[in-house]
Amino acid sequence: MAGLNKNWLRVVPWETVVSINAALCDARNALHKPTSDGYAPAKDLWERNRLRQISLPELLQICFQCHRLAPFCNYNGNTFVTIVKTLLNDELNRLPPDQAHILRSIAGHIVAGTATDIEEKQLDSLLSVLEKI
Amino acid sequence: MTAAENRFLKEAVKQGLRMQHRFLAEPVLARTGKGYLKSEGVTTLQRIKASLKTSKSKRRNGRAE
Repeated sequence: MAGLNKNWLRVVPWETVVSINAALCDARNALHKPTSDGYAPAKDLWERNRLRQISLPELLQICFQCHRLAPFCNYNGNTFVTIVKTLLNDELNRLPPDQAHILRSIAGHIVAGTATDIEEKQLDSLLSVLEKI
Repeated sequence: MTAAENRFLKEAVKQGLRMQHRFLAEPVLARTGKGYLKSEGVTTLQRIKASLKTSKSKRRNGRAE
């Protein structure tokens, strides 16, 4: 499934990712610092995809991979889940509120690394609804 | 930073702070291969469904919303 191809990351330069993490760490007095092994590959992955047309499932995978690479010492999960949920806001307006809530939740679970097989299947059916609207 | 990028940053930080209590600070996914996210529960979805049901029944009864 192609699934909503667009330039999803156009409004999210890497500096914004860093600023989001800094704000989240600051709120909890946690250390905001790049990691020695994860920062460079995550930044590279992000920049390679930033100006590309990508599908929604690809977007979720990119954010999941960046989360897994752990570019920051703290709050990697919240940083990338937040980005996906915020990017989805406009698209979700096209869905009924209950389905929008479910899609938003599944997207968050996928990026957080806690999605179940059932949720992955549910994502496909919600995307096909979204494509028809 | 463009206006759209700036708007996105503000919205994202707001969203992130709202759900921060559901995350752990440490990089759990990188260390274990399995992420962590505290469940939001079904309350929000139940509330959405209840409000949809209410507005549907109001429409059926011909009442203005």
